[in-house]
Amino acid sequence: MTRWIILVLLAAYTFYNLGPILWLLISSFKGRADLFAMPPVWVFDINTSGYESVFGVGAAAGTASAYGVVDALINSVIVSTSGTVLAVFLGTLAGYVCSRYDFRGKGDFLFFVLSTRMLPPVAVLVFYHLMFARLGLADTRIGLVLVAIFANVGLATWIMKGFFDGVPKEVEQIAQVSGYSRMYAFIHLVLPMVRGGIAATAGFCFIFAWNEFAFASILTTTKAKTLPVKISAASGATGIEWTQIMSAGVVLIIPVLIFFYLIRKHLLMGMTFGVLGRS
Amino acid sequence: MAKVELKNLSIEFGAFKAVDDVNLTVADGEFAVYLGPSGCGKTTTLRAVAGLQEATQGDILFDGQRVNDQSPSERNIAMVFQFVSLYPNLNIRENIIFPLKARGVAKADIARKLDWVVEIFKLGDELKRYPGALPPGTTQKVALARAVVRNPAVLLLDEPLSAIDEQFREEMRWELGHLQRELGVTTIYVTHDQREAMSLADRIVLMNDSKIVQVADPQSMFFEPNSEFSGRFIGSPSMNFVDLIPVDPGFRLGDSQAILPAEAVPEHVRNAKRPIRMGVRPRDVQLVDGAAPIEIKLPVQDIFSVGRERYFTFKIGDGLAQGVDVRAEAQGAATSIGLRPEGLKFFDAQTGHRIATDEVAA
Repeated sequence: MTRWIILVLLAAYTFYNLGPILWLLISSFKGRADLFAMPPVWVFDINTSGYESVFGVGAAAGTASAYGVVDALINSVIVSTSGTVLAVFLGTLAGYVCSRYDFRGKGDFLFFVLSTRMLPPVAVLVFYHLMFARLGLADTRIGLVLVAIFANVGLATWIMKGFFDGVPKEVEQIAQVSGYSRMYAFIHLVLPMVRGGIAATAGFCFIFAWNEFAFASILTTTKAKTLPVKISAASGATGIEWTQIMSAGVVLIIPVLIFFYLIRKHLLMGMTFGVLGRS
Repeated sequence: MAKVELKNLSIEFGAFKAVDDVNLTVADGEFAVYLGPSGCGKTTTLRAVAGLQEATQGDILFDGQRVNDQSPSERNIAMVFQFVSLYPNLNIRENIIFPLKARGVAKADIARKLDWVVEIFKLGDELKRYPGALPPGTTQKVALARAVVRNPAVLLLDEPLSAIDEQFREEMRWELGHLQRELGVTTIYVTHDQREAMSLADRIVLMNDSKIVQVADPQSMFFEPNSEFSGRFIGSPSMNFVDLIPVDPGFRLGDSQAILPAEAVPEHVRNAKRPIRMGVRPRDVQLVDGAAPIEIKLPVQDIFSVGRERYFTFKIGDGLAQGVDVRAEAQGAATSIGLRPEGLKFFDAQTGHRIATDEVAA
């Protein structure tokens, strides 16, 4: 009996989480009439105009309704991926140092690093805008990559410090007294032990970078627009293009799914890390 | 193999001095045991010898060469840690040959050395297994095998047996002592267990409050403690202490009414003009049978026997002290105890130092 209650609760929770995505997916294939039908229709003609428009193919190719999401998608992938890789790289090194070494002002440093995430983006947007304009970084991918690093490296440092703290210091010490250098121990022994943590950190950073909207909307105008910004601007002459927005929404989700599919094994290790760490 | 010297070694963590001006020479091939209560600085000293801890002041010398600036990997040492000792993702074989690979030892040599330690530690059946599948005792055996496999100049052991079951620990202790003598490797061993120290050490280095209290071979440490701390820390049950209050004639024992005859206290102690505290090991206290050289009126409280040994407590004023009588003929007497004169040690009640004679250096 309890088993069934649990199952029902889990099913409800799953639906609560996945429902909106299902809704998005269904809606992306609906025409305008079906989209607004009330009560919602479950059987409808598949309408791919949204996707055609999003990718600028089929009927929409070369027309004004072609909506050129591909460029924004490429921008998003480049900005998020390089931002994530660099933030995780820097965060891993900084996290290791903060976990293993004592240095003057370590506490202040860690607080400072965390404080970079305390301000709402709005508070610093104007200054970023002015600074980027002056430095020639406005509307460039490099600019957005820098923002992604800045926004995530603090978080990455903290998470990675936590994972390194979970690795016994003896791991390096045994290697050192066995004749290996500290660098060898770090690369060949410690890093493999925290690869779950690295995956988890990368997951966080990637989501944040991928979904980042505030900076991207202010700091880009045309060339470097990312997908979330692009989608928000999808209101045409005929009003808000919901089918297009839904289709673009699906496109927005897919890379995240692919990313998490790729790191899923390591991610699971990261989640059970506490159990494995002291074995 | 190497001689290890510590010269004026001090290690500070901020304002805290973990190791305070330690001087020590461990001879080539010697088994030295650092003994002391937790937090006394013994592990910190060991880590400094390993190179895992920087010395704030002073020098560490291997065979006369200053090694302060060498990294652990350059020092040709091996170390066994208290808890985490093996890599869980490497099997036993890989764990053991780990240090050999660091030095790029040739394959044939690796195989030969592996066979050698596997033989010594009887690990033949375990080579393919992973550390997680082994009991802690065996894990530490593997850690020891890994430590000795490349003939280190100095072997450093940080409470290697403390995570092992009591029963197995004793067995390991004998094996370890035997192995060390066989290999003749200079060994520094850290423990807070005085029985381990007594049974393993060529010399015990007793530490307290970041300083060396006494350095001596186990027998001297036991029979001639240079301080109240040595007397208390070494031996189980612990040494009994009581203040001697001069009365005429003799000395009153603490707040009891019992009088110790003046002849029982050597002349140099009486002449030292210092407050005297007397220490006596339980085995130097006897149940009176009329034959005791020094008889004192102190009531015996409880007696229980373990085989031939008769453990008893007796009252000194409000305090309790312990005695162990091993004589077969010992008889219980309810009102008196006997003291063996050679077992009486006299300390300065204020400083805790042994009151020195010409024969016994403080």
